Amino acid sequence: MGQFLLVCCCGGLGAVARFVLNTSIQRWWNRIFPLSTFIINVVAAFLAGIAAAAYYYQTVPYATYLLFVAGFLGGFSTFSTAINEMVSLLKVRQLGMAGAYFLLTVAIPFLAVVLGWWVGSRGH
Amino acid sequence: MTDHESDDAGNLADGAGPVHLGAPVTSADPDGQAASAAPASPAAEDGLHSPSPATLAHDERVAREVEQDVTGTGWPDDQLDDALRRELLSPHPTGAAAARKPPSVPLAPLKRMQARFNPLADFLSYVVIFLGGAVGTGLRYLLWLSMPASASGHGLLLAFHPATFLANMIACFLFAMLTSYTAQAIWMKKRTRQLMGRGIGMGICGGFSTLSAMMVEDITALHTGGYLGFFLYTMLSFILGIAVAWFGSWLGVRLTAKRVGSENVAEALRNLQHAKPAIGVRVPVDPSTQLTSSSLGSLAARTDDPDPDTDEIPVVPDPMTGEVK
Repeated sequence: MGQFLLVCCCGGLGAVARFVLNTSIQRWWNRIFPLSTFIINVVAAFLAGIAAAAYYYQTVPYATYLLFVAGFLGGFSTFSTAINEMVSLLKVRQLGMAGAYFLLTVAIPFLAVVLGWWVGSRGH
Repeated sequence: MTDHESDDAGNLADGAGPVHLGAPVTSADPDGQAASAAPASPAAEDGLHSPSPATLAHDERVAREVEQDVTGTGWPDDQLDDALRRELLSPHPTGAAAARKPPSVPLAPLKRMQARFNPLADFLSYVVIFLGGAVGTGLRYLLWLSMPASASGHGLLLAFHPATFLANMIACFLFAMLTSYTAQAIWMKKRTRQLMGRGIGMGICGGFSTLSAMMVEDITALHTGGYLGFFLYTMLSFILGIAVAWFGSWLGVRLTAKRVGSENVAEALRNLQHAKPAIGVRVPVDPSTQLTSSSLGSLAARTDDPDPDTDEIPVVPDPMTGEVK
């Protein structure tokens, strides 16, 4: 129960962190490409890669990994917002932009998680 | 969020507006020659303007001719009405807003501290997002606990993680429906919609769905060599997510369609009863144009343009985030 509440709290903190970062990026980025969600997801994937490698090599215990990945990064990264930005780009007939965003959102976070894994597994 | 500055600039321009209201009406000119005859600055603003000796007196004469053309019997009535309507519909920025690059006025320091102008100074948003994120993450954690980590111990389904997949699909659907609903629901208070969008949309749906866990699952699948399963799982998540989100936004529009229709009719009726020209529109003062308030009302009703609400930021959802500012 204590662990469940801790995961919830970490998720709340992740959501607040996303709100702050999202608002700060949108303040200076005024193009149609949804840069803020993209950056947030890439950062989250990179951190998740580090955490997964750290857990895999037993650098951190499972509880820490759970709090960080399922809690904080789960609240921080978002799938629904990215998908809805794709749908709204499609709806305003920005097909090229929607396709580019789709490919980038599939590819770059994956590369980020691989990079994070590589960073996290240094020295093993 | 970032358009508070330009909004302030707009107010500034409106304040400077009435200076120009008394200018002679060079309005109903179909070819836009009135623009070149405008007395303000015949200098080389654009290269298209012919470099003939365009003195001020000449310009004034042209303007007077155009004016006589409007007020005289030169044109038939419907053509006059049409030209006048076009004139009223076209925007006429005045003052600072008429410049090529309208100046952006920075927010006053004290306004930066107010939630109304700065979302980062909005304490209630932080509370709502924290609570929403905690609830969303908790629900996803429970779903994850109640389901097996992987759909199958071997084969293609090894890379398929039902808990994450289900959470992502539900969150996509809910977020799309909420976004389109709040974008349509003009009868709700702006602040309510904003907090709903942040608490339920950003908090609960954002916390419920996750991309980082999916990526970690992907890299685990790669580690065990399930390349095809990894590829299928990722593609299925994205494509089905888009389909589900499309359905959700369609449903949100459907749910509000009836009420939005009746609100629009009421709005049009209100416009008919108290019509007034939009800011910056120069209404001819010549009585011979016979522009009564009722004909102006029909003109205003035809524009489908609600009264500008210059006191606050316009209530339009951001096309990308769906967030109602």
